[in-house]
Amino acid sequence: MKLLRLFALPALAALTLGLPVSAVPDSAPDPWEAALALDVPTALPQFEEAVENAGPEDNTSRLALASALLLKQPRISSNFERALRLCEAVIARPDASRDDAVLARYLANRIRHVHLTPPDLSRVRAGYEELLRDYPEHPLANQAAVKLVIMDLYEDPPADLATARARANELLQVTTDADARREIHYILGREAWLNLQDGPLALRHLIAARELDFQTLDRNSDVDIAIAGIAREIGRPEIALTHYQRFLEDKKRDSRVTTVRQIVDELRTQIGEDAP
Amino acid sequence: MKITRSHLGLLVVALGFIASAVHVLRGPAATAPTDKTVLRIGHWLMHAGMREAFDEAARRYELEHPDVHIEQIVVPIRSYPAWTRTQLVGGTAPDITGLHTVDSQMMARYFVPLNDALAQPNPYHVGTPLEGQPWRETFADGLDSIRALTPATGDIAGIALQINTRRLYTNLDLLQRITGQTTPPRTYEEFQALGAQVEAYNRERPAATGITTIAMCGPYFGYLRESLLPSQTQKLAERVSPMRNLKVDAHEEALLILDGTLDPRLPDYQSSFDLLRDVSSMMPPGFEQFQRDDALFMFLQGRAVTFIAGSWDYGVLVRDGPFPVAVTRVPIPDTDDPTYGRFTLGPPSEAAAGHEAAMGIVRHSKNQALALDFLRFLTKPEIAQMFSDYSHRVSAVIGVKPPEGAEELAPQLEGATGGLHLDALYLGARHTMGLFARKSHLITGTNSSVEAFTTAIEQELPDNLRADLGSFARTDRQEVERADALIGLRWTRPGGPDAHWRQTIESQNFREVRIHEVEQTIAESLQ
Repeated sequence: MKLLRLFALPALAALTLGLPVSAVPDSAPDPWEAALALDVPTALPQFEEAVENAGPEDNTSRLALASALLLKQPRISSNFERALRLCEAVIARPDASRDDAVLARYLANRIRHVHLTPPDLSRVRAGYEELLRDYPEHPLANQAAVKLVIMDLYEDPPADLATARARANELLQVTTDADARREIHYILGREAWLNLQDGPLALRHLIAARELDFQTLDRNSDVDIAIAGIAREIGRPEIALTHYQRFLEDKKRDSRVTTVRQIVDELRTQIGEDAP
Repeated sequence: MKITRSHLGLLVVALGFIASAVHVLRGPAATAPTDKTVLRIGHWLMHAGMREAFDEAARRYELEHPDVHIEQIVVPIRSYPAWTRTQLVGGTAPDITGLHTVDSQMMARYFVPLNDALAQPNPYHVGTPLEGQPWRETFADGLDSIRALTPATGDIAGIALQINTRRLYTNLDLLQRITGQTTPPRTYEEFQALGAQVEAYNRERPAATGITTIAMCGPYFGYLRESLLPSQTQKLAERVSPMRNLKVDAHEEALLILDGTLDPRLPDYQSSFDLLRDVSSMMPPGFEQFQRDDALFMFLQGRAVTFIAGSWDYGVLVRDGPFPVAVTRVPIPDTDDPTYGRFTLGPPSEAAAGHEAAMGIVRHSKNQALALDFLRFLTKPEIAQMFSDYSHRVSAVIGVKPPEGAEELAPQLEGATGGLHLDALYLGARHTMGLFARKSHLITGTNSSVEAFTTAIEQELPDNLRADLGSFARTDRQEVERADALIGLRWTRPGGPDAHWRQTIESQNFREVRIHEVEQTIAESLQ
């Protein structure tokens, strides 16, 4: 013990002195930045503290904590149930802002749909329908229409898929947000091609989706080359040419570029267009 | 207290420990100039030339930026994964950290997305042929391979300094001794002819140690399979591409096999197996048990005429090879090949070649802007050229010349679209790749048989594909779950949501559809 005392203190002092400055945190990081970078252990205590100190009107802190709880490991139902209760508390407040009210209902529905198992699909469906009906102009609420289309076509389809497609087209009519409309067009176009092999219908939806511009990296060029390929296959060389050219403008470094250039030359010859 | 001799011994040990701890923990910071901003760069690239290239780049950068000091931290590759994780978790990782064995979650959590910077021109490209181009477009593969590391976010959180290709190295002395020629084989026909000449040479000298046409090892045979199999399935891929986008992703190929559209007995696949069998007949017996060094020594000792290896091996060959080496593309059948030409579209583009020396900026760095500037500086053509010259490796920056004398190491960007692999390359938990590795002796051994190989894999293929697809869908599901949280966080952020929530939900919708397509096909294949 004496020896331990003899060496422990100097060793501890030396270790402390030797610690690089960067290892000592100088201020608490922004909890949103931390959580978005998936650093939940840093973010969660700050969100917890904010909720603890929050007044009844602070709905945003509750929703932030609910969101962070969905990232917490291990992914266990008690975390999701708590997140759901936080959302329901916000839903119950009549003074919640429009954005908070929409987010609370959207998140609650997503928790019931994707995080808690097994999902109660009829309740989930009703939740999405109500959200869309109550907030028809809100961009996040409009995404409920996309989720409904996915449920109709894949997850919880009616006996007849034609009914699902008709319902998806009705949802398209009531969806006001351009991004949500684009998503529905894309899903309908993809389904029309892969399941119905209906080229003209697929093209109509895919082109509509492309005109509304995708947001993620390279997605526009991915859709352009698909539109071009389908158009070429069903004998629509002008459409094919337009979208192959768009692909070439967007994707200069892609292993398909040489082949696409060759196809473009063939299409130009076919429709009698001169190269620029 | 009486001080004994054993106490003194312990004291010496303790003082040694304390001194070491102080030295290790204070580390390079103790020697760094205090009046300069210190930028640290950590990587695993210990092979000859790379450290020197980083040092030289740092020296030139410091000349232009006298207030900056750059420190290089090189960690052996074996300890690099553990070291990186420890440093990232502890918040002590270098400002610029190499992306070796960093998975998608670590990328998202610890590295800064560079999307915005990559969409802008690199200021260090002013006055070069790359001036005005978005930084991303100045990389040979447009950084698609780095983007693939972060499928959840779709961000690009790093850059690659170099690019890997697979090449045929030929011992020109041995080639001349056997064939009387010094021109390496460039076509598949010439390659086969070389194999026949080597066989004849060995027959004429039964007492001598046999010469092998191709030095090969197990890991590199996997890479070769990635080059050979698709050559026979390029036309097939164009025909069956589900979205007619001139490609078939690994999960799409797996779905097409399970739904019966594709079958290992299709003539295109059979031809790819034939090709694999023919090429492997030019390799030494038992090569699959060899490791990279075994094959390398076989080549360096003059026991093999050629070596199919990576561009990363070139440096060793030019430094240690006691004979002149020619570098050419791996000869694969072209459209005019009498046996294999009918299924191929010709040599494929290498625009999607694998990345090397990938670097990212860590989120906890206090010098993010400086780190970004240094990364831009590293991809300045003259600096990239210096890296290439020093390391004998291929730069990822467009227009940079490959190492002198090895022009063909550079990726051939012009070329046809790729084909199918059947082994569902890198899909899910890689059960199908494992199946191919386990059964490949049936196609490569002395009694090889394409029929025996086909029979063996077709029995186990569906279960393995279902397992891989299940794993693939589970990963997608995790990303979908995570996206809900990210959307909630973006909407609650002070100042209101930025545009990123729209990107997140777009990726989420795409994945949700894909999960259902995959699960539906798996379920139908079991009926």
